[in-house]
Amino acid sequence: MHIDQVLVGASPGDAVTESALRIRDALRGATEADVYALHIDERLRGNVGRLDDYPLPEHRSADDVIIFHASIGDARVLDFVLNRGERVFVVYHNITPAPFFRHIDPAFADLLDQGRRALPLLLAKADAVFADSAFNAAELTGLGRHDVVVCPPPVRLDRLLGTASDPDLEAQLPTAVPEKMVLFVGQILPHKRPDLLIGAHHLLVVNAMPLARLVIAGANRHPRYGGAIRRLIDTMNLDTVWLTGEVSDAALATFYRRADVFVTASEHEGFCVPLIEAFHFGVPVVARGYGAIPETAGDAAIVLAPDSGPAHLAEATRRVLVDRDLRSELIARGKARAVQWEADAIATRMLSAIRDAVARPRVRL
Amino acid sequence: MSSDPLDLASVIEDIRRTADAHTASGMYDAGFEDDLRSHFARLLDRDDGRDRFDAVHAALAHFDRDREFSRARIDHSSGLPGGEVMHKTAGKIVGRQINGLVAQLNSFSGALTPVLRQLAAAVSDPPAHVHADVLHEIDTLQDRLAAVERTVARADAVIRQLENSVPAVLAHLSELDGLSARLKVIEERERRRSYDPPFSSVAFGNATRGDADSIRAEYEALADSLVGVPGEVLDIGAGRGEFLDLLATRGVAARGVEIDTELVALARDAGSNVQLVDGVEALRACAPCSLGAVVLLHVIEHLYPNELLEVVSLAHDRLAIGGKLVLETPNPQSLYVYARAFWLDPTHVKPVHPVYLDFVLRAAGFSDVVFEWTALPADAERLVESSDASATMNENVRRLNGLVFGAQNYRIIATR
Repeated sequence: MHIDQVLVGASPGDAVTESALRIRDALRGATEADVYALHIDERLRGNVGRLDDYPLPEHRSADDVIIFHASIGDARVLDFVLNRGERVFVVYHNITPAPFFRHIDPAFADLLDQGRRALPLLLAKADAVFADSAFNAAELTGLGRHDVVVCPPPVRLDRLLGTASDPDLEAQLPTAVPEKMVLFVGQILPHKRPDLLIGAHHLLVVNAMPLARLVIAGANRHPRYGGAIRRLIDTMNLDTVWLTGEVSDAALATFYRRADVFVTASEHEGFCVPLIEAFHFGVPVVARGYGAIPETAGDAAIVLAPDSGPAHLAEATRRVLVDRDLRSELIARGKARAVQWEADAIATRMLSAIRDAVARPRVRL
Repeated sequence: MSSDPLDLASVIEDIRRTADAHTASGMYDAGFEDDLRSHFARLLDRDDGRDRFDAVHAALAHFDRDREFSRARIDHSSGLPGGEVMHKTAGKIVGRQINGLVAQLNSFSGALTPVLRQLAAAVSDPPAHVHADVLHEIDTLQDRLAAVERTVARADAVIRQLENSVPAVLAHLSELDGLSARLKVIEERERRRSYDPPFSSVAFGNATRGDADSIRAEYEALADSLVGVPGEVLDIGAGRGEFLDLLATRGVAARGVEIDTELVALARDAGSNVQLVDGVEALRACAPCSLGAVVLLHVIEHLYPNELLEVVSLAHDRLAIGGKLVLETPNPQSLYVYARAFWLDPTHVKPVHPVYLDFVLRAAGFSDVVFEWTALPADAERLVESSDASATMNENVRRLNGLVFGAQNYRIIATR
């Protein structure tokens, strides 16, 4: 029996890819399991198969399973999934709402729209549906699917926690970050609202903490948007913001170990893995209550109202940096919260949910 | 960590309130979020040449990977039967020439690579594309412009507010006009009522009061009684300084205050220590419990009721324990006083009744209050009893003498 997973894109460090690989490794003991993707980062070649190389339908039976990780729309992948004869399970990681990209990248916005429009078709085809968060599940329930199983992504925190710090970066940090470090981890994309983070940082350094540094650790996935962010920092004359670009696990672990507070202004998150990472590393978290953030953070973070602006983010950051009681309480709560997302337990849950679904007779054709 | 569980919701609410308060107070610029949004939208809309260098470098890396020319990459496939063999055969025949070409191409592309790199480096070098700096300058200018626009908008708002408050200000001004007119009327009335004679008070005093010797004689005994008081004597309303003279001859430390300029000059000429100061002010300036005696001879009938209360209270506070407050004033219980003396002086406000004064002194804390009745009218003025008259008539005469010709002054010595 084959249980294969299909993604649109696979890249190292990407939460969806990581979670697919982990499920694959766990499945391999009992069954044939592979991961296929349309776009594959070179570093994953050999580890992730090309969708073009997916075994032909005649080599697969109706009992085999394709687990499709839905996070973006792509006509080729959707066609592939919708037209195969195997059973299809959908894992819904949420699709970023197109309006975030409509202005800067209409083609990409179309892709996102396409993905969202295809959801009902996918749901009709799917034998089983999983979602990262209750927030994601609610969207599918709104589309008429009532049997969605909520399974948080099995984040490979053990890997990050066990990673030794990057010695070069560590040597660089005392000069680059002389005082408090405000950390954001995530790709430089519009829905993550790095512009607001930068605005909040401006208020923080101008009014309260002139030596604080904002580290934005994440890949610049969109040159036009990333360029505008870089120019925003330039034109605001902020030499206290550090855009690191894509970072290695060692660098990421180094930043988490050094950070004094983790702040995100994100307006759309299907789960938000970095929150759990920050909790694990004992970094207090400030966020805004969008998407799945409130349920992922629980009572372990300062989750501001969604409409909070730069002033609120700056004040919350300042408070967490100076209020020792609040800090230690948030760190303690974060550690407790992180345990709840322990990857092995979650992977086990995910696997047993997949096995339950496999054991159920096929109901859709 | 605090022992109480942290109420995160109230912390978050507090953060929100604080941030809003900082925004309202101007610490955080209220227009900042809007400015940030519009500024970033401008940046997003404008293509920046620097972004394209990423593409240039990616293309160079690609060129580097693919630049090796090789015979192996020459396609020999053919759709024609036997075509592939023919291609290979032809290749072998022209092999040497092809090898030469490939070698030249390789050396050409090898030489081209550093040129391209230098070109890319030169183009991406900031001084080589000034336009990026110009854009930066434009950004800065736009930011400044936005700040100026914000200031203007705020100034507009302030002007509008001011305009709105103009009617209220005008109303207040017209009220002030009314008040000012009323004040003038009141001042004029006050001026007319206030006593400001064209003659000197000294001249008036000379014309109406007794001679200096008889005045001294009247107060010898009082001066004697102040020998040994526990501190300096303050004579309020010291006049020409006659009483201070009496004290000086007895070695009693004393000074006087007086509000009549002319009298002060006279007293000083006579060698008395008299200053031109209001009595209440002089008392205030003294340290608590510092004075041996406070003397007001024929002063309190010039005071308004509240002034009297203030003088008594201040005197009590400034007198040392055992110190004395001496007050002498016309006796309102003698009707003769009204006929002959009290209303002679237009600056007398009202007579002070001894029973009232006794009450006031005790209420202020003086424990020992002693009265003396002084200056009986001359016998020649009093009604005469006669042996010819009936006993009833003589009794009536005694009663009338008591009521009409009682002592003209009374003196109180109150001890703290």
